[in-house]
Amino acid sequence: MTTRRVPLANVPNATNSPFRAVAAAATKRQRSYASDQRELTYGQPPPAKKQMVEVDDAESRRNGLVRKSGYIPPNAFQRRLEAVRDTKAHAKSLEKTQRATSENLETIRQWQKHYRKMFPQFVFYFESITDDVRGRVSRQAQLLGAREEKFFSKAVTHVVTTRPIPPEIDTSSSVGASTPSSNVTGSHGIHGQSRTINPSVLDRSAESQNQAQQLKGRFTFEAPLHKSNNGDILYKAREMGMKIWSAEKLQRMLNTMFNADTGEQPPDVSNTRRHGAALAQLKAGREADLQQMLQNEKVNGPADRDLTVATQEMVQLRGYYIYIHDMDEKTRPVMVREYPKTATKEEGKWPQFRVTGPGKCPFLEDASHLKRVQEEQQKAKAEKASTAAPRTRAAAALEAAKDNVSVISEKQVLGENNNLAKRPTSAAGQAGGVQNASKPLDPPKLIPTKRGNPDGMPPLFGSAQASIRALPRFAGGEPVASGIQPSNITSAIRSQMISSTAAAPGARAGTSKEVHQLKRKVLEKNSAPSANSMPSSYMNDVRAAINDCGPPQRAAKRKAQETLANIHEDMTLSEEEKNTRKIIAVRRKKTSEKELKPGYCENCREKFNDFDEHITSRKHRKFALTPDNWRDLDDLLSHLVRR
Amino acid sequence: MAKVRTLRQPTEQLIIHNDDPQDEETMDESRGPLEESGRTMSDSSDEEVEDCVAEDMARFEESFKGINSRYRLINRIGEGTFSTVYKAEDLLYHKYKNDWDIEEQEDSKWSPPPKKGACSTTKGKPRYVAIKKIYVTSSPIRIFNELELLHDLKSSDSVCPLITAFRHQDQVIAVLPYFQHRDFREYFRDMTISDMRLYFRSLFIALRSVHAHGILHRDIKPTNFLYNPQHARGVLVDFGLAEREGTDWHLCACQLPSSERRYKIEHSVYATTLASAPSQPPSYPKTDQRSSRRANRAGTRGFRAPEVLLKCTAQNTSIDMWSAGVILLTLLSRRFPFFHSADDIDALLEITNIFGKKKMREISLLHGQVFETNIPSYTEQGHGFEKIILWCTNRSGRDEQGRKNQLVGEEKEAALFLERLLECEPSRRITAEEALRHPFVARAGEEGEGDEEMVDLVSS
Repeated sequence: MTTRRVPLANVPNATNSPFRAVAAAATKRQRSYASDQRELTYGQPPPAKKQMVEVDDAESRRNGLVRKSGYIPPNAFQRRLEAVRDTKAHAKSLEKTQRATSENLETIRQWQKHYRKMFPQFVFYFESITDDVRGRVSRQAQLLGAREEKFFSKAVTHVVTTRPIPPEIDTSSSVGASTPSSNVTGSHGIHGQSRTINPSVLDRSAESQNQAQQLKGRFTFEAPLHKSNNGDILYKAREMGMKIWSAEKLQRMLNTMFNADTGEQPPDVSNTRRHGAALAQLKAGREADLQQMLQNEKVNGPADRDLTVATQEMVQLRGYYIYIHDMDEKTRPVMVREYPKTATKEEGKWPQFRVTGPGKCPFLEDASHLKRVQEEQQKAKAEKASTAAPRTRAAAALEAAKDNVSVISEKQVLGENNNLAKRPTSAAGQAGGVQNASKPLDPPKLIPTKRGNPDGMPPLFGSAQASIRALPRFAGGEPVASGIQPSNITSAIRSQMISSTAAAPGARAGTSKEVHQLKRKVLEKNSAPSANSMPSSYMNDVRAAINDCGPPQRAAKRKAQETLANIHEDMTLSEEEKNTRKIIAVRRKKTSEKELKPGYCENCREKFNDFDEHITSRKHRKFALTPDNWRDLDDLLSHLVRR
Repeated sequence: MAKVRTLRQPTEQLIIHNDDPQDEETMDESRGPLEESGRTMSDSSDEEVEDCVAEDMARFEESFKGINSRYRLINRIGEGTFSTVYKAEDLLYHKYKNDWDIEEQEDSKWSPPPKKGACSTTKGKPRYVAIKKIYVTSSPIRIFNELELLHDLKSSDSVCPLITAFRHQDQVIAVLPYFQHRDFREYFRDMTISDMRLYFRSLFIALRSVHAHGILHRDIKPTNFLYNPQHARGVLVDFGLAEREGTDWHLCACQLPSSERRYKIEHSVYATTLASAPSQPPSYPKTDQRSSRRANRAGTRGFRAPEVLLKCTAQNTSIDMWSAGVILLTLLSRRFPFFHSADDIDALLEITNIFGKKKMREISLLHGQVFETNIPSYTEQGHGFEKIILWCTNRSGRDEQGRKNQLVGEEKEAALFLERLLECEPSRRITAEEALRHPFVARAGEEGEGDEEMVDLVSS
């Protein structure tokens, strides 16, 4: 078992060290101040202080570490468990001494207060920390007034790292004197300390630092061991008298600072847990601590995991999403759903106002209405079409270009989103976009439908309403004629809808909106399966109801229906509405005797496939015939006898 | 066994709508969409009985010992998630005291005979009741709950009284008055504002007494409010999802004083971490070990208040007022159903579409939740009911003078009242008691033309 503590003479920055840097003297005051303060209030017991964040093998190799040689320190979790045991014991003993408790609370408040004052003076430099962790931690620190230096410099007061921390050179530090692990690092520091900062280090941003380290590590691996610390930022930091904190420690401190639980309660359980003896402040009934700690780990991952490895368990929302979650992250998100990004919002499958027939649900696409309106529009606008076309051409080109942009950006978004597999299933949509990008004014191509229409419904084409709505993408509300497109047009022509006014198939002048609508249609279909590919446990929640996965009859309806837009002022439905304004006939439910009636039996607590079958099952009959089950109800029924 | 089997055949068609079948840890007992969960009694179909219905009724009569001597089943008039309702002739009507029979009393109001004369009226006239056959898969506790609440509410105005109930083995039936009423879908598009006043007066009278008993109905929707436009009176039915206030109550952030809530929000995990990284898209654990937030979300999709959707653990009677608001929105917009709400997420997004993201963030935080969305269709501020009503009724254009159409007069008043009902914050939502004092409702029946309209409507 190696100790972390190295002989004083070997410590590069010790007062009597030959390597002691001039710079260190300058920062000495500050550091000792900080460390004094820390000991006073933060007061970590030695093992916690030396808590080492695990590094992966490559990392340890780079540092010349021989990990797991001999003593294996208890991991953070074990330590916490022990600490909780401790504190529980303490809590018991302290239960009656209210004063002690409040004193401890006071201590923590003092600690918080102190660090709240201190933080604005801190300048952090993050080293060997993944970007996401760094971003989060840095922002938190910034909230407390601290600053982050992107580049290592003298201004830095604290280096935060996930790597093992080189030994303290400050003799005044009494903590961390002898702790396991982080063994070899000390001996590294013996030689080869340069007095100036390696320019290569200075030049690198925090992001590239990691790589730099790795590269360097590879080189130094071959180099004599004692040289390996040349330019290592941690050593440099030590040398310059900066504090070196493990990322975990900073996180822990920040957690304590932002005690999420409640303002009144003593802050951060993890902190108090760790300092069980010193700060065993727990109120009675704080057994929740362990649970909360576990909860935290559920959210943030195990606290002792390798922070340099990105958390794989998190699913990032990259499309259009709705995410409603507990502000304290104590429970699962109440809602999370992601929709693929679409070129226009009308294509989105999320609930939005659609153009629907009178009396109909405004959120539900209304195919029949669209059809009607479309036909009407078709007649009305047919003659206008030829005159409209020349005027729209210029705008058309513009719009097409715009559309290309959006399609491309959509593609990019989807492209990088590997884990979600949200991209439309048919390549046609994207192919269309790409095609379109190159030749925006090409006529729409007729491509056979790639996917059969599952419902056997004829594909529907866009509502003429789309043109009435003054969406910017429409050519200034220019009236454009409707026309039924061949049903085999696919998304290949999506986003060409305006350009198609220039050269629509069959010399039809004003087809832009049909094509546009068609595009919507196709996209909509394409996007449907994506909902199911969401790689999460929430998928179950999501699957049942979303999009096309609803009850079959609804799904069929939806599939056949057209996506339409938000509320818009210029809607005119009048004639249609009047014509169709009739009382809806009472629907007579058709029943087919043979149909299975699946459901759930509350009494047997089981799902069944067929009601009739279930209720004759032995289990159910047994329940029915057991008087005990009915006693309360019978009591009540006796009061309900008709008089 | 074969006999038992036939005994147990309850209905031709069992509609069990379960919005979240996978979400088994919640106490969610969703109901089907309105247009399908026909707890709708319609007079027109009374006498023409489909074969399968006849068969079903025959089986029911056979299975339920002694029912034939008391009631003669006439038709099946409604099906819900947990029950089927039949119209039946009450063969022993005159053997009992029928103080539940408002219609009888109503009739007597118009005719010289004294009010009390329910028993003394013409014997030959058939008396109808509604027999609610509660599915045998419902737990005794659920049935107990429903019947007990009905019993508690027995003398409440506008609440469907329970005549009696009995059990045969696992089959429980409740006998309720049969109310003449019309299918909501037949009249909702023709209701004038005056009609609406009357409708809501009746509904809020019912809700006032239900809420005064500390009971949440939980399933307010047109199909559960049997309304007779002719008499401008409705009755609230189906307490299958009702519960007493405080059932499974847990502290929710919305119950805290606002200062305390603000403090909690400011010191929440979210405020201290994620909020400071707005550029990063949120992420959530792939396999979440945390427990789900639990709350009763029973109700019908499209009618659930936002706090129900957000799993507020301290729901109260104000959720019913929201649902009533949805009915008013339906009437004013002439859209039924107004919300599609395939599931809770869709439901909340539909609400978001109306109220805007800002409001949703606020009310989510009210319940300790963070609302995040980047869905482009939703505006920050929402739309406002006036705009939505105009749009839905195809009046969102401009008039001849190029002015924007606006709601006028009493429609405007209705829209303002609607705002009070569809108030996202439960504590600020109008109560049934207050609603009855609100000008929109208080003025019900004042205008003479209201009655005329109603007559037209009825005769049409």
